[in-house]
Amino acid sequence: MVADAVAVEEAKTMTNLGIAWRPEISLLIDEHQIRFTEILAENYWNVSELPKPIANLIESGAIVVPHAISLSLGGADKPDKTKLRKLARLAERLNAPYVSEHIAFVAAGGIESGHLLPVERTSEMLELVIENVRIAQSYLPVPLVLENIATVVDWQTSEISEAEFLSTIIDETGAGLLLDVANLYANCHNHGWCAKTFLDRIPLEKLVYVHVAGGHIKRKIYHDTHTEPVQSGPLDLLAELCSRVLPGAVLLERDDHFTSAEQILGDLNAISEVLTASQNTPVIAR
Amino acid sequence: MKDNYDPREKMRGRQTQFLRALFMGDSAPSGIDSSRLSILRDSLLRKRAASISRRWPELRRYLDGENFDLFRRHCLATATEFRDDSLVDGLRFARWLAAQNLLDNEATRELVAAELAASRSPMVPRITARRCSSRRWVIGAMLPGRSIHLVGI
Repeated sequence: MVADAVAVEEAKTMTNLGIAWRPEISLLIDEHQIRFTEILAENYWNVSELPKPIANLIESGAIVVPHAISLSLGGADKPDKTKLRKLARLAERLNAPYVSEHIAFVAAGGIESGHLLPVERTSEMLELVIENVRIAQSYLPVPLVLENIATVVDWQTSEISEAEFLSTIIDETGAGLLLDVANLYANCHNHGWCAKTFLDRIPLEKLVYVHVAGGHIKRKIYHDTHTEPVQSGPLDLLAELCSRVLPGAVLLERDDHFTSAEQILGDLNAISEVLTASQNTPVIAR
Repeated sequence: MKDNYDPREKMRGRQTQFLRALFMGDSAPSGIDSSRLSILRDSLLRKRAASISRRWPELRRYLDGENFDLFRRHCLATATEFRDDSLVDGLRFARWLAAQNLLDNEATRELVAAELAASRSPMVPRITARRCSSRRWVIGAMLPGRSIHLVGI
C-alpha cells in the first residue's frame, strides 16, 4: 500500500492522475491528495450547498470537473435548457476548466433509460448531434468535452464508424475529447472493432483527458461496470494511447465495491506505471 | 411531402422503439440484435437492483436469486414511470410488492418509515398503516419533528 501511494505520488507529478469523486472514497482522495477529480453533475446541480469535502477540494485549488450523464446529446430531442443552465451554474461554482458529457442518448418518447445508449451513426443523426452539441455549448461558460461510451448492443444500420462520428462532431463543434479506454476496450471486445484503427482516426490533438475503469466479461460480453479492478485490456489500450500522446490527465472511475482501499490504490498504481513507462511521449500542450 | 420531413421525428421514433424493446419487450427496431438487447436489459436491471439495494436494505432479498423475476416483472410493467433515482425507484418497487401482498414484515416497516419520512410537513403528525404478507399490520406514526414510531399488530 505504501509502495502504491509512492507510485501514485510520482505519477501525479508528471500528469494529473485522478479518481472520480464518490462519498465512499472522499477520505482516500483527501489522504492521497488527489488534485484532479470529477463529480456526477446531476447529483450536485440542485444542491444549495456542496458537500464539505468537495468544497474543500475546490478551495485547495484541485480540479473538479462536472461530469454529466443526462443531457442526451445523442438524443433525437434538443438538450434540455434547464439542465444546461444547471450544469453551467455548477461549472462556475466548481471553478471547473471544462465540463464533460457523452455521445449517447438516454431518453426518448417519454421513457428514461437511466443508462447511456448508442446513437445510430447515420449522416442525418450526425447533423442532429452536432446541432445538440452546439446548443449545449451556447449555454456553458467553459469548454465541453465529449466522451465515447461502452455498448453491449450497437446499431447494425450505422453508416459511419464511431471514430469518424466522434471526430466529425469534435471537428465541427470545437469540443474537446474525453477518451474512455475501458469503453473503447468494451466496444472492441463486443463488436470486433480494432482499437488501433480507432486511435488512428480520432483527433488526439483534441484529447483533454482519459477515463480508465474496471469491468468484467459475462457470457462473452464485456460489461463496463466500474465495480472491479482495472483489467489488462484497458491498461494496454492506455499504453497504446500513451505511445502516441501523453494525456494531460487520467481519471479512474469506480462506482461501487469501495471496501478495499488497496484495490483502488492498486488501480491508480497500475495506471501510474503505464504513465511512467510513457514519459518520453510529449504531453499535450493546453 | 418532402418539406414536412423532420429528421428529429424519425430518430425519435427509432430511439423510442429501441427503449420500448429494451424495457417493455416490444420488437426491436431494424439494425438492433434482439439477443444483445436482452443481455443489456438483464445487465441494466441488475445494476438498477443493486442501486435500490443500497438505499433499501430490506428489499435486497426481493432483488436477487429467484426473486429477481419479481423485479423484472415490476420493471416491465412500469417502464414508462422509471426515473433515475434509486430512492424513488425502491419506493415504487416496495409499493408494487405491497399491493400484491408480497412484502414481508421488515420490508413493510422500511416502507412505512420511508413514507412517513417523506412527509413535506414535518411539524404535522401523521399516522399510516400497511398490511404485510403475513397478514399482520405495521402501523407507523410520525410525531412533530420527524420522530417516527412503528408497531406491528
